[in-house]
Amino acid sequence: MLIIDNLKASIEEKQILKGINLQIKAGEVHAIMGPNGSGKSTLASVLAGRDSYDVSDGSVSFLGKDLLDMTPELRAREGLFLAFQYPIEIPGVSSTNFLKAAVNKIREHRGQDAMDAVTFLKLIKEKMKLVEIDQSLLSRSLNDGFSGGEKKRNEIFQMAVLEPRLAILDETDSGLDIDALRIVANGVNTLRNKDNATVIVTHYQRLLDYIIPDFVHVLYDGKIVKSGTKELALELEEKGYDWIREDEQVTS
Amino acid sequence: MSITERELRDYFTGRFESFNQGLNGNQSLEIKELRQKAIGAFAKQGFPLTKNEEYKYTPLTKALLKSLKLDAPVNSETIPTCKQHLIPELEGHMLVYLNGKLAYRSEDLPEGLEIEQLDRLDQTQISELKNHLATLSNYQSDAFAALNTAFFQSGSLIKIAANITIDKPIIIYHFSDGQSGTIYTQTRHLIMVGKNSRATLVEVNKNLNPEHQTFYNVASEVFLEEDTQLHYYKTQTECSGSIIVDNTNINQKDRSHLYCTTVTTSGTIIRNNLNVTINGEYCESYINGLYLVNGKDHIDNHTTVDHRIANSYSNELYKGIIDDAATGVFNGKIFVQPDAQKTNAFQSNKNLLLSDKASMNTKPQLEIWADDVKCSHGATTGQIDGEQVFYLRSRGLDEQQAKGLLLYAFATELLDRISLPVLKDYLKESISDRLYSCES
Repeated sequence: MLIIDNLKASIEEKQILKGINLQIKAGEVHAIMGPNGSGKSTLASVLAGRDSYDVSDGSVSFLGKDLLDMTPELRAREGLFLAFQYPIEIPGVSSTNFLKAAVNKIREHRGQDAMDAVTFLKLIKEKMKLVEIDQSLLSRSLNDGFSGGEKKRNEIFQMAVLEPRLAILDETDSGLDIDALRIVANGVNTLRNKDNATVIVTHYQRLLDYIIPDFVHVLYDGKIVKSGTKELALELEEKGYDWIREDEQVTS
Repeated sequence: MSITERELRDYFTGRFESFNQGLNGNQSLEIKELRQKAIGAFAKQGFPLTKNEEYKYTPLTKALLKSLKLDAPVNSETIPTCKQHLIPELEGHMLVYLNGKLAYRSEDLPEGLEIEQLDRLDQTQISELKNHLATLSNYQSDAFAALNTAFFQSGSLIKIAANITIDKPIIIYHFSDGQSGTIYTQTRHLIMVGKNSRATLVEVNKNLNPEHQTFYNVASEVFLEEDTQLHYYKTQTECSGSIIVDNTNINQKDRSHLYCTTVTTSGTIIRNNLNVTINGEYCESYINGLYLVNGKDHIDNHTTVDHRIANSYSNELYKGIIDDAATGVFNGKIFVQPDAQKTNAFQSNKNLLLSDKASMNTKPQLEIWADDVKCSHGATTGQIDGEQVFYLRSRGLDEQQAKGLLLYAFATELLDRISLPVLKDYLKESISDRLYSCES
C-alpha cells in the first residue's frame, strides 16, 4: 500500500529525514517510535504534504501512485489521513459543514454522487458513537475551544467518517487521559480491516497496549534503526531510547 | 483635466448664494441661517487634503478633483427600474432616493411612525426640530458634513413616537444612476426614536451605473431617547464607481441600546464617519463593521464612541478582508469623559490581507479621563493562517475552498449578529461567491 524508499527531507536547510525505508501492506498496523527530535512528526507531515518541508531525495508510492507528486487534498482523496498531533482550531467553521464538504470531495474523486443530508447525518450519528463524541461538540466550530482530549477524539471521529485507506496517527496518545486513550484505541481497533492500514507515531509504548501493532520501527536521527514486532516496543519501554543510541554507536 | 482644491471649493461656495436664494420661499429662517453657518465652516476648512490628520490615509479630495466635472449636467435623470435593485424579500417601510431625489415612498405607515421630507417641512415643523436638527452634526469639524448642511436638498425626517415598536424595518435606498459625467448628491436624515420605543433602520447604498462616478455625501443625525432600542444597518455592497462620505451622528440617552452594523463590499472611496455620543446611564452600544474590498477600492471607517455619563457599555468590532491593491483604513476613537465612571468600552479591529499590494491602516485612539473604567482595544492585521489551510486540505478540501471557508468564517462572525434574517442571508450570500473565489 505504502512504499517509502530512501526518503530524505529537510526544513529550513536542516536535514531531518536521512533516508527512510518502509513498506506497509493493507491490513497492517505499524508503530513508529523514537525519541524527541528523531523525525517522527516530520515523517508524518511529509507524507501528508505539509509544504514547509523539502524532500531532497527518495520516493513514496501510495497505492501504486507517486504520493509526493500530489497536493495534500489529492492525498486525502486518494485515501491518506493524518490525525494531527496538534489539531488546528478553526473558529467560525462548523465541524459538520466542513466534514460534509470533505466527505463529498472524496466521493467526487471516487466518482460517487454527493451524499445527501439525511444519509450524511446518519453516518455522523453512527461514527459519533464509536468515539463517544457528543453532538454538542459537533455543532460548535471546528476544534474551537475543545479540550486536548476532545480534539484528539475529533481527529479519530473524522477518520471514522472519511474511512481512509491509510491512517497516520501522529502522537495521538499525547495529552490523553486513560479513559480517552481507551476510547481512541477502541475507535481505531473497530475501524481496522483487511483493506486499510494504520501507522501509529508515538513516543511511548502506552497506546500500543490498546492497539496491538504488527510491526514496530524505531526512528533515530532521521533513520529507521531497528524494526521488530510488538515485543520491541516493550523492550524500548523497559530499556529506554539510550539503549538504541548505544546500539547505534556500536554499529556505526 | 483635473481641477484644484481651491477651484472646487470656490465652485461650491460660489454656487451657495444663488442656491440659498433660490430656496427662499421654501425654507424657514432657521434653516437659512444654518446653511449660512455651514457654508462659512466649509469655506474655512476647504476639502480635506491628506495633510489633514483625519484624512491622512484617504485621498478623498484628490479623487473628487479627478472625477468631478463641474460643467457636466449635475443630476442626469433616468427612470430606471429601481425595483430590481431592492433587496429581495426585505419588507418594510421604504424610502427610495434616486440621484438624491425621492423616487418612491411607502404609504400606510403604522401608528407612531412619521416620515416627512426634510426639505419640505413648514416653519412650525422646523421650529419643533430646533433642538435636534444639526445639533449633533459635526459640520464645524468636517468639511463634508458642512457641505451637506449647506446644500442638502433632500432627505427624511423619521420620527417614532414614544412607547411603540415598529415591527417592520424602515429601509432607505440611496440609488445613484449617473448617465453622463459625475453626479453628486447631498442627502440628509434626521431620525428620532421616542422614549421606550424600538425600531430597525436599514440604509442601502447602490450605484446602479458603475461606469459613471458618483459622489454621495450623506449625513444623518439619530436621537435615541430613554429606553429605546435601535438596530441600524448600513450596506454599501454595490458601490463600484462611488465616492461616498457618510457622516452619521448618534446620541444615546439613558438605557438606550444601539446595534449598528456597516457592511461595505465595494466603492472607489468610501468614508464612513460614525460618531456615537453616550449621553446617558446604562446605555449599550454595539458597533460593528465588515469590509471586503478588492481592485483599487478604498474603505475608511472612522468611528468615535464618546462616553460622557457613567455606567454605560460599548463594544465595537470591525473586521476587514483586503484583496488586490485595495486599501482599508480604520480609526476608532473612544473617549471616556471625567463623569463617565464605571464605563466598559471595548474595541477590536481585525484584518486579513490577501495580497502583497493590499494595505491596511488601523489606529485605535483611546482617551480616558475617568479612573474607574474598563477599556480595552486591539488591532490585528495578518494573512490567512497557513496551518488552518493545510488542516482543511489534509481532509480533502482544495486550496481555494479551504481559504474560502476560512474567509467566510472570518466575515460571518459579524453578519451573524444581524438580527434581521432576510438581510443577514442576503449579505451572506452576496459575500460568499466572492470569498470562495479569492485567488490568493
